[in-house]
Amino acid sequence: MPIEEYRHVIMECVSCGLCQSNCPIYKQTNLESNSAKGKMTILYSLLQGWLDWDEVAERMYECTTCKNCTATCLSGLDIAAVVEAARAELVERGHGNAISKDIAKNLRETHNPFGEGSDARERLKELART
Amino acid sequence: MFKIVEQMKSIVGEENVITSKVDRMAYSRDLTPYLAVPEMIIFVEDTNQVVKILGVASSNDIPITPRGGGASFQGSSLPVRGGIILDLSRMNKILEISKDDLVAIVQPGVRYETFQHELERQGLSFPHDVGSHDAATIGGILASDSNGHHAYRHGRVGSWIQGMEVVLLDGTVLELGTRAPRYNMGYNLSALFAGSQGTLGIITKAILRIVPKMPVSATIGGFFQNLDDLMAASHAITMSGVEAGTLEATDGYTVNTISDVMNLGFPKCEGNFVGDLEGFNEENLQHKLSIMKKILEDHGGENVIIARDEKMNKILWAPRLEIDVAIVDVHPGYREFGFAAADPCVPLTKMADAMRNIGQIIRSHGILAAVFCHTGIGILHPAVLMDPNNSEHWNAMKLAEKEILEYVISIGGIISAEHGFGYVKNNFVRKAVGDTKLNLDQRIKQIFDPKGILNPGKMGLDTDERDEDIEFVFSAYVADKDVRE
Ligand SMILES: Cc1cc2nc3c(=O)[nH]c(=O)nc-3n(C[C@H](O)[C@H](O)[C@H](O)COP(=O)(O)OP(=O)(O)OC[C@H]3O[C@@H](n4cnc5c(N)ncnc54)[C@H](O)[C@@H]3O)c2cc1C
Ligand code: SF4
Ligand code: SF4
Repeated sequence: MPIEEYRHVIMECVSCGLCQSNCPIYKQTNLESNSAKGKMTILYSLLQGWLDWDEVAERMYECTTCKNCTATCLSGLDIAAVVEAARAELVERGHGNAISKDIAKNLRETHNPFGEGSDARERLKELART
Repeated sequence: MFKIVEQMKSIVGEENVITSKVDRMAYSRDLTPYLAVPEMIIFVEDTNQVVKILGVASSNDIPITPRGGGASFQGSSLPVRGGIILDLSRMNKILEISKDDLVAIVQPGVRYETFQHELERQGLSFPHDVGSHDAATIGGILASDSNGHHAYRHGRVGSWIQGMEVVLLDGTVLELGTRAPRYNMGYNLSALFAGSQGTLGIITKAILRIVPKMPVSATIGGFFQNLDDLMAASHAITMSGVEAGTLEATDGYTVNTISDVMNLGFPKCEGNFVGDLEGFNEENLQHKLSIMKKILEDHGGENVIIARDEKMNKILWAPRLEIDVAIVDVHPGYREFGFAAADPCVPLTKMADAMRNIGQIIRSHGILAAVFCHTGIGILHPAVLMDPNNSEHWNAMKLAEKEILEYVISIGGIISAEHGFGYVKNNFVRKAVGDTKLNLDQRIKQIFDPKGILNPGKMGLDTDERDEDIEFVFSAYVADKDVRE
C-alpha cells in the first residue's frame, strides 16, 4: 500500500512523545527523529512535499518494527505498519537500504542470505556431527 | 551560520550538533498546530557546555529554546523564532538518591519514568507523575512547574525543589538551595525558575525532595447520573480527611464512547469518578477505601468498583486515559489539539456547571468535546476532538476556545492552571493577568535575558500575538485573523 494510504494514521499522531521512552532506537540516541513521534512528523513532511524520499530514507530504516511504541501510544497507532509501508515505497523508488538489497540478491542467487553456496551447509552438517 | 555551527561543534563535538533538514523537521512540533523548525539541534552533556553554548548564542543573538522530552501541550518547547534547540535529553544521569536525607540529585534530561522506576526499586517516590511521564524529563517538569496526576495530594512540583543549578545567559552558574530540607533566604528564585518555561535560564541540575513509597494502593471509581452529585461526593471525600492521591471526573459523552468502543459495559451516566489512594498497610488502606466507597454510594454513585490489580485499574482509568484511542476508532482522522482552553481552573463549587457548560460550548460549534476535571483542585481539561483537514472545525475550535475562556473568567476562574501559557496562549495573557503583572513579568525577563533570546515568543512576554510569523502544520488551519464569527 502506498504511504499516502496511511495519511490518516500519520495525521492521527498528536506529537505527544509517549512513544519515546520505550523505543529501543530512540533510547540509544535520544534523537527525536528516531522515535515514532519523529517518524510521523517526518512522513507527514514527506506527504506535504517538505521533504524528499532520499531525505527520509535513513530514518525509516532506523526502526526494529518492535511495536513498543504502539504499546504506549496515546492514540494506539500501529507505527510499525506505517514504517513498513514507507520502506516498501522507498524500495520501489530505488532507496532500498544496501543490506536488504544484498540479502535479496544473495537469496535469489544462492538461497542463502549471506551469499554462501550449498557447500557451507554441508560444512555446518559436518560441524554438527563432531 | 556555517561559522556558528563549527563553533558549536568545537564545544560539544560533531555528533552533538544536528543540522540535517529531516531531523530539524522532526523537532518542529508538539501538540499544538504549529510548525516551528529550528536551525540546529544541540545536545549538551554537562554544565560547562551549556555555559559555552549560551555564550556563542548570546554573542550572535541567536534564539535558544531548551528542550527536554518535547511533550509540551502549549507550544512551550517549540522554537517559534527559529535558532537553536538546546536538547538536554543526553544530560540524563541520576547523580544520587539518598534514603537518609530523602533527596535525589538529578540532571535535567532524566525521564520521569526512569527516575520513578529507580526510586520505586528503592522503596521511594517522586509523586509528580505527569500524563506525559514516558516523554517528560525532570528539567521540563520543573521548568513547567508541572501538576502531576497526584497534585491533589502533593501539590505542584515547584515546592519539591530543594535546590537547583541554573545557567544564566551571561554564563553565571547559579546554585540555589542545598540538600537541607528547607530554606528561606530572600526571594524564592527556585519558585521563579519553576514554571519559567525556559525563558529565564537553563536548569542543569536539581536537588529534589523524595518520599517513601507506600506499600499498598487501590483505585476506586463510580458512575453518576448527575455531575452535581459527583462533585458533592468528591468534596465529601476531601472533607472526610481521607488522603486520596487524586480525585478525577470524566464527562458522560467520553465515558459512554469509551465504554462502547472498548466494550466495557459501563452504565450510561453524566460523568464518572475515579480516585486513587495509598495505605501504609492493608488495614489502613481498607479503612480509607470503606470510607470513600460509602461516600460515593451515599451521593448516588452507581457500580462503585474497587480495583486492586493492573487489569481492573486500566478499566477504571479508561474514560480518563483512552479518549485518543477511542476517537480514532469512532472517527478515523480525528484527534485532539493543544489549544488555549486546555487547562482552566474554577472554584470548587463551580466544577459541575463548568464541565457541562464547557462541553456544551464546544459541541455548539459542531465539533466533539471530552471534558475532564481534577475535582479536588478545580482544574478542567476540555479536549476538542476534530478533523484537522476541515477548516470549519478549526474555525469552530477558535470560537469555542475564546468562549470557554470568557466563561471561565465570568465564573471567577482563571485561564491556565496546569500547562502554563507557552505559545498558544500569547493572545490571552494580557487580559488574564492584567497590564501591571505582565509589566512586572517583562521586567523580570529583562533582568535575566536582556537580549530576549531565551525561548522567545512565549508567555506573552514579547508579543500579544500568536499565529503570526509562524507556519502551521495543517493547510486547513484557520489563523486568528481569519476566524469567522
Ligand atoms: C499526553 C500529555 C499529558 C500531559 N500531562 C500533564 C500533566 O498531567 N500535568 C502537567 O502539568 N503537564 C502535563 N503535560 C504537559 C507537559 O508534558 C509537561 O508539562 C512536562 O513537564 C513537559 O516535560 P518535557 O521534558 O517534555 O518538557 P519540554 O516539552 O521539552 O519543555 C517544556 C518547557 O520547559 C522548558 N525546558 C525543558 N527543559 C528545560 C531545562 N532543563 N531548563 C530550562 N527550561 C527547560 C522548555 O523550553 C519548555 O518551555 C502533558 C503533556 C502531554 C503531551
Ligand atoms: S516500532 Fe520502531 S519506532 Fe516503534 S518502538 Fe520499535 S523501533 Fe521504535
Ligand atoms: S505516542 Fe503515538 S500519538 Fe503520541 S507522538 Fe508517539 S506515535 Fe504520535
